[in-house]
Amino acid sequence: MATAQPTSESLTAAMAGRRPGVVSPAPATPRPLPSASMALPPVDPGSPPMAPVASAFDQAVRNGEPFNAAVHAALAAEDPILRVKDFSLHYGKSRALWDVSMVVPRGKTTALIGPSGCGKSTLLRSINRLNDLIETVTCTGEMVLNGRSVYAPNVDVIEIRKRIGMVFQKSNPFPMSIFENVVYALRIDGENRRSVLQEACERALRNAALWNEVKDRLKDSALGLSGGQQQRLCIARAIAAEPEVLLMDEPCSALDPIATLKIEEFIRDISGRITVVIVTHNMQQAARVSHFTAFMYLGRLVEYGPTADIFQNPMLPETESYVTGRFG
Amino acid sequence: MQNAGPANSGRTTRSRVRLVDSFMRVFITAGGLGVIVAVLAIMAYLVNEAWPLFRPGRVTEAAPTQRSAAPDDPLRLFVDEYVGLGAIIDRQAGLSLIDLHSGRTLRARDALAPGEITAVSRPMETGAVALGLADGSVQVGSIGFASEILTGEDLPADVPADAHPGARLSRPDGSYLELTPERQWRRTALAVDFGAPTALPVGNGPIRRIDYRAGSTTQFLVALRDDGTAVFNRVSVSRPLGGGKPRSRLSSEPVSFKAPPGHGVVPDWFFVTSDGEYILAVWSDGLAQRYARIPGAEGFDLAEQVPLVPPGRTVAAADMLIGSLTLMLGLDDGSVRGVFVARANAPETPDGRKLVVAHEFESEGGSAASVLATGQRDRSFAVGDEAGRVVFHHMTSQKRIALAAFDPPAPVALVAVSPKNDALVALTRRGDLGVWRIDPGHPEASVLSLFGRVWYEGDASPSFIYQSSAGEDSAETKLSLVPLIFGTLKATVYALLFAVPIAILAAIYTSELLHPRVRSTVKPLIEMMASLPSVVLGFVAAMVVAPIARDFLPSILIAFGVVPVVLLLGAYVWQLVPVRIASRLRTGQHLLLVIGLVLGGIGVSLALGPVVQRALFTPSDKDVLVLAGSFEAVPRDQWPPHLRHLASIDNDTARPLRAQGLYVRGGQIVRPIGDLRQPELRELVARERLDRADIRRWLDGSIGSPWSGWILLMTPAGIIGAALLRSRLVDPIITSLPIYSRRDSAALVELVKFLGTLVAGSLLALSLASVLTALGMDARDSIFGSFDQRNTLIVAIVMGFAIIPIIYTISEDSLSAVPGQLRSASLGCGATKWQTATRVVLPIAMSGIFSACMIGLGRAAGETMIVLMSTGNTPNMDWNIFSGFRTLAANIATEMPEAPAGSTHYRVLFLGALCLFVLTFIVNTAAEVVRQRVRRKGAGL
Repeated sequence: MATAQPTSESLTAAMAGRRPGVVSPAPATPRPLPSASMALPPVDPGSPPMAPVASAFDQAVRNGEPFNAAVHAALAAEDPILRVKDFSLHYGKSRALWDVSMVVPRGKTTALIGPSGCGKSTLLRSINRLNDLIETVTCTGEMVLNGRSVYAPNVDVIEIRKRIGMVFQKSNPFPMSIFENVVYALRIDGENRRSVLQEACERALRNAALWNEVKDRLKDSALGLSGGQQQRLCIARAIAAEPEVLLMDEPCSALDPIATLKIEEFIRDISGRITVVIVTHNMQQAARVSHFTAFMYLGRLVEYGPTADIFQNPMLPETESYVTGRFG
Repeated sequence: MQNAGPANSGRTTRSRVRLVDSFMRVFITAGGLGVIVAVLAIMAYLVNEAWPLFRPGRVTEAAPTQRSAAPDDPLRLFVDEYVGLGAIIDRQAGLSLIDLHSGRTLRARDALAPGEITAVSRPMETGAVALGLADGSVQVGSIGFASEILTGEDLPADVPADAHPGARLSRPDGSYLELTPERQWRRTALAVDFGAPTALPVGNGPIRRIDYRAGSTTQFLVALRDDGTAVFNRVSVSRPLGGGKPRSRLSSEPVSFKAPPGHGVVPDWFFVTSDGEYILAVWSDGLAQRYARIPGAEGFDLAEQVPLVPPGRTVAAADMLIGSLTLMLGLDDGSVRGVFVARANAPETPDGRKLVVAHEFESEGGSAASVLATGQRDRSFAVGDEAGRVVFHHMTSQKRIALAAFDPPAPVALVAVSPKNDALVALTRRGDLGVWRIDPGHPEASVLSLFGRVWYEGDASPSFIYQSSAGEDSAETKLSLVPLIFGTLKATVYALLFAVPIAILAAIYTSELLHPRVRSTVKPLIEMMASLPSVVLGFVAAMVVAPIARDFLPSILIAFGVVPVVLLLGAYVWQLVPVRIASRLRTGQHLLLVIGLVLGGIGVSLALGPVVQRALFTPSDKDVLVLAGSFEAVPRDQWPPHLRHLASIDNDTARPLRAQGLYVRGGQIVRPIGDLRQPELRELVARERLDRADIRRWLDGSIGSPWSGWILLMTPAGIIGAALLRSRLVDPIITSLPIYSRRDSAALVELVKFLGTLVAGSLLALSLASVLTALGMDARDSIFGSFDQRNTLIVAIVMGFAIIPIIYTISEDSLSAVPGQLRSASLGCGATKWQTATRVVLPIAMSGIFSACMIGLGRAAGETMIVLMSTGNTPNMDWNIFSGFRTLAANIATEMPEAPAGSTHYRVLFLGALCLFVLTFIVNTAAEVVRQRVRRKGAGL
C-alpha cells in the first residue's frame, strides 16, 4: 500500500485545510457523519474536524442538522422567479438535501458550486422534477416557480417541464437530424407547421451560436457533430420552446476550452432574457458567467450571494476555503 | 492488457496469469468455432440426406449385348424379379422364354391357348392377362414368374458346393437357380395359368382388341370384335363376411363403339381405365375416343373424340401407366405424351371430363419411338426408339432416370422394366438382347415435383399437393413441399400478427411506463411463459381453446377490435378525471385499472358476440327454405351463361350466385320455393333450428351475403382510416381552438374526437363493405372460409402466446438499453413518457425490436407441437384463418416414424427439414443484417 496514490485520509486532510501528504495524527474524537452518505464525498469517519474551532456549519453537520445558509443582503432586492423553501430530498434512506432555502432571481444567472456530491445537481434536477424518475426519491419542502408550486399534488409535471429547459453534463442529442433535435419540444406540443418550426429552429440555433456552423446541414444526423457542437445543439433544443428557466448541469465539463468559451458567451448573451441556473465545478466559470453564486456543501446551502462577494468577500470560512482552492 | 515490461515499473505478469489467459483464449475460440462447425455439420447432414433426391438414376451395369432369336411379331416382354428370364408374347399369343444372361431361347414358341389368338390384353402388374380368341371368346389367366428357395432334398444333385453368391445355373426345364447372398439356392421359373375360354355374348367375328384390369374386388374386361362391337364386362368378386367361397358376378354393359370416319374399324389401342369409368380407343394418327357412362344412356357412349398429337405426327407406341389412369403415347418424333381424363368441368363433353395432355417429354435424338413399357412400381416408363436407345422417365416428376443404348444402333422392338425398377431389358428387331442394371435413385422426386406445379392424374389443372402416402401402391405420390412451406408461413404470419403488437406494447409498457418495482415482478412472470412446454400449449389449444373458440367464435372475432377500443375509451375517460384524484393512484394501481379494462373489454365482447352474430349472420327466409330442402332445380338454360358449360358447380363458384338469389345444391343451381309458413316446414325449421344465426354456416357459404364478412373486416380498417384522416384534416383545426388549451376541456374534446372517429370509421366501413360486395368480392375467398375446429386462429393465439415471451424479453432489453440521458433530455423538454417512448426510445431500440421479431419468427417457423396438435394437419394452401394447415416441422414429426430410412419419403422429409433450416437461416441472417445497419446508424450515442 506504500504508493503515492491519494487516499481518503489525505483527501479529508485537504478538506481540513491542509496540504495532501501531511500525515495527520490519529483523531482524538470521531466526528459523527450525517446520514446522507450517498450524496457525500468519501469521508473517513475517523477524520478530524474541519477547523480547529468548530464553526456553526460543522456543528450542524456533526449533529445531523440542517444549516441556515448565509445569504447576502443583495439578493433581497432581486425579483425571484424560483423560490425554494426548506427543500429536503432523500434517496431512499439517505438524505441528499438538507432544508435548502433560496431564491433564484429572474433574468439572472445563478451558479451552484461546491465539491462533488454536495447536492447541487440534485437540487437542479429537483427544479424540473427529473428526480421523480428515480424510484426511491422522496422530497419535502416547497419549490415555487413563478408563483406556482412545482410539487403540489395537482400539478402537471409535463406542464412544469415545458417551462424549464435543461442542458445536461454530457451532450445528449437524439439520433435524429439537427433540425428535428432543435424543434423536438415544439413537435411534442403538436406543432407541425413548417414555417413555425423553421423559424424556431433558426432562432434557437442562432442563440446557441451554432447557426452558422450547421445551417447547411440541418438534415444531417446530429450525431455527426463534434462534442462542443452537440452540446450547443442541446442548448438550442432546450431554448427552442422559449422556457422561463434554463437549467445547466455542468454543461462544459466534457468540452475543450474553445467550446467552453462559446457556451460561456452564450450564457452571458442570454442573461436578461432567460433565467439560468448553472451547476459548475469550475469556479472561474462561475465567476465569469454568473451574477449570483450559491455554495453548497454536504447537502446544505452554505452561502449564497452576488458572485463577486462570494469569491472575494465570503462571509463564512468554509466558503473561503473552497473558493480559494483549499479543498474540494 | 499486458504489462509493458519490467523496465518501466517493475511489475510483471505472472506466468500463471499468462497461462490462464492463453488457455481461455484457445478454449473460447474452440467453443465458438465448435458452434459454427456444429451448425454447419447439421446443415451438411441435411444436405447429404436430401441431395440424392435430385440425383438422376444411372445405369450401373450394362451386360454385353447378346444375340437372341426373338419371335417375328413380339407384343410384350416380361422379366422376372431377379432379371434372369424373359418371356415374350407375340401377337399371335405365342410365348417364348429366353435366358437374359446368354440370350439363349430356352423354350420356343408355345401357344398360350388352344385355337387362334387374335388379341392379347396388356398384362397387369400381377401378370393377369386376357386373351381374345378367333372364335369370339375370351380367356383370362396370368403369366408370371415364381421364385422359391430350394433346400435339402429339393436341391438338384449337380449343384456345385463351392459356388459364389450370384452364381447361376440354367435348368433344362427353362427355370434357373441362383445363389443368393445368404448362400441359398433360389429357383425361378415361368408360371402360366389360364382358365377356360368364355364366349362373348354379343357381336360377331374374332376378338380384335381386349383389355383387362383386375382390382381386389372388381375386374373389368373390354373387348372389341371384328365387326366393331365392343362390350364392357364387370366381374365383381365379393367375399362373404365370416368366410365362405368368394362369389363373382358378371355384368355386361354395351359400348356404343363407332369408329371415326376415315379410320379403321379397329383402333390401334383399346384400353379401359382402372376405375372402370372410361374406355379409350386410340388410332395411330393420334385421334382418340373416350367412351364413358353418359347420364341417361345405357352403357358406354362416346364422350369425346380428340386428337392427342400435333398435326402431322403419329402415335408409334402406347401403354397405360401403373394405376391405369394415364395413357402414355410415344410419337413418331420420339417425344412422349402423358394423357389422362381430367375433371375439367369442360363444356364440350357431356360428363364435363376431358382428355388432357398433361405431360410432355421431349424427344432425345429425334428418332421415332418404337415401343413403350411402363414400370410396375411407380409412374415410370421406358421408351425405345428406332435408333436403338431406351430412355427411362418418371411421368409425375418428369425426371429422366436413365438412358441405355444399343451399340451398334438398331430399332428397339421390345422393352421391359423389371418388376423392382432396377433393370431395363430391351430387344431389337435384329434380335439383339440388352440388359442394363439401373439404380433408379428417387424417380418421384425432382425440382418440379417438389417445388413446382404438377398436373396430377385426374385433376383439372396443375397444382401443389402434398400427399405422401395413399391407400394403394398404385396411387400417384404427391410430394410438393410448397403446401408445407406455405403452411409454415401461414402459421408464422398469423402468430406474429397476434404476438408482435402485444409483445412490443408490453415491452414498451414495462420498460418506459411501469414502475420499476412492478417491472421486476412482471418481467420474470412473462418470461416464465416461455418455459411452458409447447406440447402443453398445444394440448391446451386443442382441448380447451379450440372448443371455446368454436362456441364463442363471434365474440372472439370482435374481441380483437372491442378490447383495444375499450382500452382507448378508458384512457380518454381517464383524461377527464381531475389531476387531484388521478395523481393519488400509484403505478401498480394503474396496472390493475388496465387489467380491469381488458377484462371489461372481454366482457363486452362476450355480450356483443351473440348480438353481432344475430345482426350479421341470421339466415334469410330464402336461406332457411334451401336449408330445409324446399327448393327446385333451375333448368340449365336459365343458368348464368358463363356457368352453363359446367357439369357441376363448386362452392367457390356458387357464392357469387347468392346475390342473384340462386343456390347450389349437389353441384346444381337451385332456387328456393315454398313458404316458411307451411306447418311442416315451420316444424322442420323449429326442430333443426335452421333459422338460428350461425357464423359458421355463413363461413361455409351456405347462408348470407358477403356483406356481413366485409363489415366485420372493414370496421377496424375503417376506424384506422378515419383516425388517419382525422389527424390530417381535423386535428390541426382543433389544436388551434382555444377550448383545447385547458386541460379538462381538451380531454373532453379528445374524447369527443375519439367517439367521432369510431362513428366515422363505422360509416366508412359500411360504405367499403357495400362497395366490395357490389364488386362481387367475398372475404370467404381469402382470409375467411369454411370453419374447422382446429384452425389457424387457434394456432395464432396459442403460438402467439408461445412467442410473446421471447419477443417481449428481447424488445424490453433493447428498450431498457437506450441511454437514460436521452430519456432525461426528452422528459426535460416537456415530453410525456409516451412521447419519449415513441419518439426517442423506440426509434433507437428499433434494431433490437426488429431482431426480437425475427427471432420470434424463427421460433414460430420451427414450432412443432402446437401446430401439430391444434390444426388438422391438412396440407391446404389458402389464407383462410378458419382452416388448418400443415407445417414443415409438423410434417416431419408426423411422418418420420413411418418413412423407411433411405426411401424417397424419408429423404423428402429431410428436404423439408433443410427447407426449414434455410428458411430460419435466411430470416435470421436478414434480421442480423438489418440490425447491424440500424445499429450503425445509431452509432455515436
